[in-house]
Amino acid sequence: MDAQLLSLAQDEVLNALALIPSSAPKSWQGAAATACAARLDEAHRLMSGLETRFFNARSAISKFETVRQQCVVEP
Amino acid sequence: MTEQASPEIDPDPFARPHAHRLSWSTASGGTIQAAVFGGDYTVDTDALMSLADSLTVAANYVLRARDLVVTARKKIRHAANEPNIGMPGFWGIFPPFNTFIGASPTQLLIEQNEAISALNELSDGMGSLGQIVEYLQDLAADVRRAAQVYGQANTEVFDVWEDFRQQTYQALFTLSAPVVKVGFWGFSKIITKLPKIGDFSDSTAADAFNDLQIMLADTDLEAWACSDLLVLVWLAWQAGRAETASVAAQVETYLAHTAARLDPVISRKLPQQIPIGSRLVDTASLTPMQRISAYLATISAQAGSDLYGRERALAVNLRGSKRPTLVPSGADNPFGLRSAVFPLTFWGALPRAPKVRAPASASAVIRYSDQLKQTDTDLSSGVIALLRTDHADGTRSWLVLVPGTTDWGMGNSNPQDMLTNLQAVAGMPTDMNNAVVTAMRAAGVGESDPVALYGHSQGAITAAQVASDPEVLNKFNVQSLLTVGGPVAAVALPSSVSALHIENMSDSVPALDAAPNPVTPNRVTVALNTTKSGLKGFPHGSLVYAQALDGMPSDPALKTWNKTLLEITGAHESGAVTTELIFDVERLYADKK
Repeated sequence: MDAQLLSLAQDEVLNALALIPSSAPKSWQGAAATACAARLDEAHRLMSGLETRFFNARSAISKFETVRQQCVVEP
Repeated sequence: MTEQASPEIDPDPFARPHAHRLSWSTASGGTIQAAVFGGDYTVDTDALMSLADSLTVAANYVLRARDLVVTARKKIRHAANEPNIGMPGFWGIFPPFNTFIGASPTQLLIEQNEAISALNELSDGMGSLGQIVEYLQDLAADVRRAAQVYGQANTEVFDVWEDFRQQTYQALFTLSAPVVKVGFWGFSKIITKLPKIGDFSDSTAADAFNDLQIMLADTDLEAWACSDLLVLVWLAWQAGRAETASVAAQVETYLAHTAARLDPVISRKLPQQIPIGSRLVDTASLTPMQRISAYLATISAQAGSDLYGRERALAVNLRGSKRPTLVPSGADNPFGLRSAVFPLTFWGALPRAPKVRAPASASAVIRYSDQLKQTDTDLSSGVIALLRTDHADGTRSWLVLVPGTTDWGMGNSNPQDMLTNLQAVAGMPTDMNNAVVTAMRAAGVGESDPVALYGHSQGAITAAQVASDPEVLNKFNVQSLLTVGGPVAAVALPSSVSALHIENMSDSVPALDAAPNPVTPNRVTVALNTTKSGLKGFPHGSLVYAQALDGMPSDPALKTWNKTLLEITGAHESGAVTTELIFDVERLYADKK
């Protein structure tokens, strides 16, 4: 169930990624436009870094669920 | 929507549409700030707003992702407190009476902590979803702000401009009162009430003012109007000596205020049509300042004629040549174009011109012209220069340099004087317009040769008028114009001329026309704020302008102008040779007094 939430979260991130262009509008030039393009690059870099974190979280949840399944109590 | 020209322009440069800002450091450790408006550089503000919207939506998606991660974390926290299999009653980690099989509660606790830690890293802290949300929101806000600046929806202004406005209003109130009482106080008392921007020690100017005052006294103008006119001329004379933005603001405001007040009275004294450049134009179509300048120019020309004699011709003499070119003066010979002028080569009178280093930037052009003026010690004549560049491919191009006012009298032998200033602000034919075009014809500028014009102060108006007149443009291929510290707003430039206008906010001379420069794709105005620059000298001084422009970062709005200048001067161009032709200009009189 928690893994499913993470999948949904990852889908949202993919939706976000699709909305972030890799460059500033072509009609915009000069120092401000260059700075904007650099910040868009950085946004893409940060978004890429999430993949590892999602992987780590999913595998940690998976381990937890496994152990939880094994941890059975008898009255 | 593309932000570019707008028909309605606010007089405050920073409130004009399409302005963007730059700042850079000076060699003296200060800072220059500038507003750039106009030019062929257009920003699609809709594209910027669309980008900002996309980034905001993206931030919301990431925020939802974070919310899901936070929910997952809560569930894991609670999961350790819930029974794994159907158990009656409460199930805890350390129940005293329960028996565990399989994994131990300790192991479960460890895995729970691991999962929570991994989810924490995903939701908060460096590189997390939370940080990305903030990052995208900030970026969206900055892009939206940039779009607003280009679209000028942003009303934010520099602090100095808040001061500027306040002082302007203050000046308006403090200066209006004494002028209304002029008949009572007289001219000499009025000037003591005006901003302290210099003394009245220039004897030539003082003489000219006295004569002008006498002539005005003979008119049927009311006393207040005569005094206002005199004060207006005095302010125009003093404008180049303003040292601070506050004084410039006072001068500028007073000029506009006075022009508006005088206009109905003066308009009645002018003919229905007056010569503007090579055309006759309806007087009603001019600005109030143009009409008043036209009236003052007519009176001043008469004052000059009474003082020095009736002008018969203009002598344009290439240094080193023994054959001056003479053209009749007057409104019936605008730009000297109705007189025959043969190239000096025709007479074999073109001396060997010295080679010079071609200027490669706006500041280099300004310095070159400033040097020309500084080394011209004969104040009885004016001076202009033509830099001729012979390119390796056999073509030829020209840079025409027109310095500013050198003589503050009216109608003396030197046409770079106050009379030319008044005529030029009105848009009327001037001796300097004649001089520049005559020098171009005498030097042999060909019809297809690319020409760039530069002018400072009065020279700026002259250069702009030459670059805009249809008859001149029929004969010459003017491609580029640089004006520095000049009132050029009233000049209607064709789109074929790429123009760069440099103005200093602390310099009131560019405001003598009491109108802002048009904002068009081919006209770029760079409005400098040098109050924190550490530069020495009057802001109107051409060297101060040159120093202020040193270090200016490249800007896309200036790309076309810079490219055209380099093509014309041939700077950095292999095989291009630039030579200098200096012309002295002098009024000649029929009955010299």
